[in-house]
Amino acid sequence: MTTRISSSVRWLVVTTLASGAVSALAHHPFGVCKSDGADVVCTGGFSDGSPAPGVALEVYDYAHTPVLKGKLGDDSTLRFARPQGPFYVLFDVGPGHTVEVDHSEIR
Amino acid sequence: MSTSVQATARGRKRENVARKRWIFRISLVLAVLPAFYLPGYFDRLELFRGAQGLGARDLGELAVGPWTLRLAEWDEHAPESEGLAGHFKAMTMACAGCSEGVKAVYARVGEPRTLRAPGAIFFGPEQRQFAELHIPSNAVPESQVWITLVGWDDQIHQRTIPLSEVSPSTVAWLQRRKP
Repeated sequence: MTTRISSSVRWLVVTTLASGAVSALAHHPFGVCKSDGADVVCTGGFSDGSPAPGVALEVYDYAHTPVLKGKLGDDSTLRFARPQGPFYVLFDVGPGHTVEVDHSEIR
Repeated sequence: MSTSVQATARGRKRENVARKRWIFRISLVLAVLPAFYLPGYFDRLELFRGAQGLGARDLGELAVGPWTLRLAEWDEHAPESEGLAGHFKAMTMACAGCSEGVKAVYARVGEPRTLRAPGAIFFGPEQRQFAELHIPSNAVPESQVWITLVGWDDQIHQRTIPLSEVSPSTVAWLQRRKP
């Protein structure tokens, strides 16, 4: 009986580790921004569920002039006053790992 | 032992034999079922090993500035969902001699607004590099894929390819997604 239990536990551990390895292969950054009164609240993270505190968040107008340069807080969010005119939010996790959110998507 | 007790014992024995037969049949089906997936499994192994080329659909050579890349669609399936991050399509790229002069190659659906965000970066050895191409929610079948190549001399080279050439399966998926 002991052998059977330890064998089951071994398989459970192997399966858990294997499924963890699969999810570790692909984790894409995401950024979601929502309107909150006169403010915009942006939340960043990764598709595997991990948070993204400290990730650079920048806001640019359509002439590519920076409106805001900040970082996501410990709760992976950043709140800022909604800029006048069209703009886009850029989450920059690193080269080739960026997310853009256009102002038209922020409701 | 009375006759009724013997009959009950015989009945139980028969039930046990019948149960074991069913367990044997079910086990046999469970053992045979994976065989139907073997062709797909071996195909996948060949793809990963490189025996099928760069990917499932080779797009051929593509000149970007002074460099020549080979691009391929990794598989011919519809883009995969990655939850809140959206949908992604795996692409592969090979560039002989790029390791000396090319810092990075990026792919993006739609023109990059800024060189801060030129798209997904290709990573891996120069014989086969992978990138997960993000399919944005505003992508249409007529969208273009922008390839951005950054040299070690910081020169930027760009060119476009229609999404319909890069991934017909993605275009078919976009057409199905149309409201």
